[in-house]
Amino acid sequence: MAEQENNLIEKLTQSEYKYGFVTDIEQEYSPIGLNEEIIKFISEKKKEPKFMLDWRLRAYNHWKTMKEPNWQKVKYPPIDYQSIYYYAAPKNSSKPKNLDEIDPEIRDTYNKLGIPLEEQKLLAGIAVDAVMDSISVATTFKDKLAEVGIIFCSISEAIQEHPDLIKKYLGSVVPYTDNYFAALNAAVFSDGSFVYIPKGTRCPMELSTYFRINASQTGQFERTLIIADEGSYVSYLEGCTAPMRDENQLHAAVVELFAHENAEIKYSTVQNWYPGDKEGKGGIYNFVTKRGICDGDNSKISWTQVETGSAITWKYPSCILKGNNSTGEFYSVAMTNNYQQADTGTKMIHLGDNTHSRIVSKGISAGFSDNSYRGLVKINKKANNTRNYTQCDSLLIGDKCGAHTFPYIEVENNTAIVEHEATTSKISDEAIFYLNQRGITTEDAVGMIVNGYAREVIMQLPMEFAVEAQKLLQISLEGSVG
Amino acid sequence: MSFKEYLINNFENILAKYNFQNLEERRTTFKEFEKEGLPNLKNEDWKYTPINFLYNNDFELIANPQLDITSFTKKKSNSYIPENSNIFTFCNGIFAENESINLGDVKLEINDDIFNNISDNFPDGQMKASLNNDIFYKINQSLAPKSNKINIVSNSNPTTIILAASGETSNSFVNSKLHISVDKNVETSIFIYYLNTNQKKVFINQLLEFEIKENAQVKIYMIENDDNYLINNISLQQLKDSNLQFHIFSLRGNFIRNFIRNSLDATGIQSVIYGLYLPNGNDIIDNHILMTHNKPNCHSNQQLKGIMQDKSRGIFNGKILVQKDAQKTDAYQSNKNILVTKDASIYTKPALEIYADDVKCSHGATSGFLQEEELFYLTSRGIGVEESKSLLLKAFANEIIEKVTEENLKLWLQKEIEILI
Repeated sequence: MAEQENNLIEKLTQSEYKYGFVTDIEQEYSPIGLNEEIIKFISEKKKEPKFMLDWRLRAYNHWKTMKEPNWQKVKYPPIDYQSIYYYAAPKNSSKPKNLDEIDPEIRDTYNKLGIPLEEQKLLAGIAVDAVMDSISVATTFKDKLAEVGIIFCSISEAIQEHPDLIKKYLGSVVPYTDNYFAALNAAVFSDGSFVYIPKGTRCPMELSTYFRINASQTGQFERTLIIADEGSYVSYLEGCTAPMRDENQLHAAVVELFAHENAEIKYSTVQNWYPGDKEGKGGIYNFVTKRGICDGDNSKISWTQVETGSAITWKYPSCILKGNNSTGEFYSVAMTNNYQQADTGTKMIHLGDNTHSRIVSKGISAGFSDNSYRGLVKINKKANNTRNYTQCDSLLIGDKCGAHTFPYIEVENNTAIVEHEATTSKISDEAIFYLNQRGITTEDAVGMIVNGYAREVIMQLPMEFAVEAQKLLQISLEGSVG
Repeated sequence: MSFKEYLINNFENILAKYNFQNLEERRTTFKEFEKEGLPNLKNEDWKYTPINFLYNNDFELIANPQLDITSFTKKKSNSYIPENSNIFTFCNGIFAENESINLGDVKLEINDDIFNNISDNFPDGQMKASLNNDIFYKINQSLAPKSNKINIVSNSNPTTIILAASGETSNSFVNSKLHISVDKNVETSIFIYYLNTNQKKVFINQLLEFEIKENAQVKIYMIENDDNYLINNISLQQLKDSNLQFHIFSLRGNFIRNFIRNSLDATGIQSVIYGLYLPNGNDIIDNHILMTHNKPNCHSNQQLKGIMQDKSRGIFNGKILVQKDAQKTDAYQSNKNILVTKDASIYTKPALEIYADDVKCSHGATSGFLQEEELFYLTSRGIGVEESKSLLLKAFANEIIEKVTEENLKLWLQKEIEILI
């Protein structure tokens, strides 16, 4: 039996990373390393107005004074920030007028990834902004969205065309002083997505961004800014992939969400960066700062994430619940296998009255991986009648992995009700036995049980993503029977 | 003058004045304190526990017994001491023979062997580091007068330990080290009190060690019931098939910090911690627990409840650490809190760190207030609002008190709670 299990684990952990190919296109790089010149270079490349350059330089100078944090429960060799290309872009990408003008290689890449860039896939009904390495290569459905007043474009475009909005909102949720990687990102970010939903508009389709790291030795630093004006609604998806390489690549993105009165933002991520091979070589370091603010009353922000990739995942999508009656939600499935490490969770900062938050986190660790949930629920002194419910469960598959939970609960107001519960266990032998009895192989049984376990979170994803996420889980997990 | 400056300026004088031994080791340890200083809010272990009472120092280190018998007798009679109990009294870290009774089943050993610690045997690195990095542990190591050891050798009468602190004219700062070991197959209970027999403030920096040997069945009742400033580093080691029930009641005290580090170093161990903390006024009560499972087939459970009144602050930080070898572990933890007033606060961090897969571990934490419905139910039956509130709070606290198997202590606790809530 034990041998059989080992075989199964072997088989499972060997399943291949599907998206590990490299696209052979001509790339344009900035000189290697980081200094003021590079930042000026990037800013110039993007034809940015002066205020952006000043902001970047301020961030850079602040970054120089900061120390890399070391409290996290993930380990990695020191990153040499001078040996990274901070800007890499497919050449000749002077903003294609329409999709036909896009380099066929790039289009192929996205087709291989199954991303409906082309408008003929209109039926898919998703507007896509595709970002390769440092720059946005295509944004679909722009015109149709513009009809209802929605701005959906790359952030560099927004900087040129909507400087007022950028000035007002960029850095308002995640200031460059926030943390080490946010400062670095503010200094060198090269592209990302920008969304503005005007008052009272319900975004007619799902918006989505696909991030792809292609060039080697580069870091990807994108910045996403989503603003939902009064009474609007938007659902936004994000997907990520990268080629298989032996080196580790840094991905330090910043995502800012800003919800006005009665607005709702739903942000879903299916993160499938290359996780490294089964000896733990290579893979992406995914160090991302994601934060949303429910600024107006009755607003709502909901984060959903399915994390299966990356050598190291280290992020805490957070909500600042400032408006009264606002709601924050966080649903997460984090799956680690082989030598992957994850330290992820959320922060719910309750500032307004009657604010509610809900956290559901499901961790699955297999192989030699370490998976931690780290979360903060803070009830401010002035926030009355707040409510939080947190549930975080961990599943261990195999006896060489670790699962950890570090929740911080700070309550300063006596009208708050805060609940937290967590469990850690393996898949019970009884459950496996039950399924075996009914003719289901152990491997399938584990897949079934894990899918059932993660269902609560996956149900939160938009349909297309839910199917993909389920498949991803299956692939990452196949055969890890404990 | 800050507390740190006071200690640095007077360190050599103190060593000479009280004729301390192991001077070199003390100096080396003290150097580390000098270098690091007192912990601040940036230190993860002290994130929510401000030690404001030490910013402007008005304590004076006292390391010789100056027991005020009148005050001591009075406070002792207010405490619950079981019949036929061995009594060991320590004043300012030094054994007070006149106030002690040994019925014969306890061996007492006093020596200068301060630097021989139970934590040296901890197999787990994280446990060791957590204690060795504790600044107050370092202060204790450099300034505790004697190493006191109590060894319970037979199925004995209960043992009461009174850790008294006093000083004649000044606020006193006391370091004290006590090691308690319970021999194989011994079934016993231990009562521990901290008493302030000074007319002024006392700050006790205590290092307590428990060694629970094979198949010993031990109940510890720790009662913190006096206006002290208390920092309490508790190291526990349990050996094969031992069974420990640790009850900790933080009833009164301006500042209490308990850090319990329990190392389960063999198979078949049962370990339970029940805690109740009732800060009021501006009190700060902090309970840190690190429960480490190093071997398979152990069971641990932590249940702590707190009622925060007035402007008080409660802190709970509990971690269950399950090592790779510790398969078939059952470990539970629960922390429930009620904030009675607007200005009270609670900071809780129940953590799990698990490296073995065949385990059942869970934790839960809640914070809430008195429910309208429950109050309404009681008031509609003619019970006043204030009385209903106190009834509900008492019921909440009672869950922990009920765990006490010593009937008389239970009654005594219920009476104390009556006064406090």
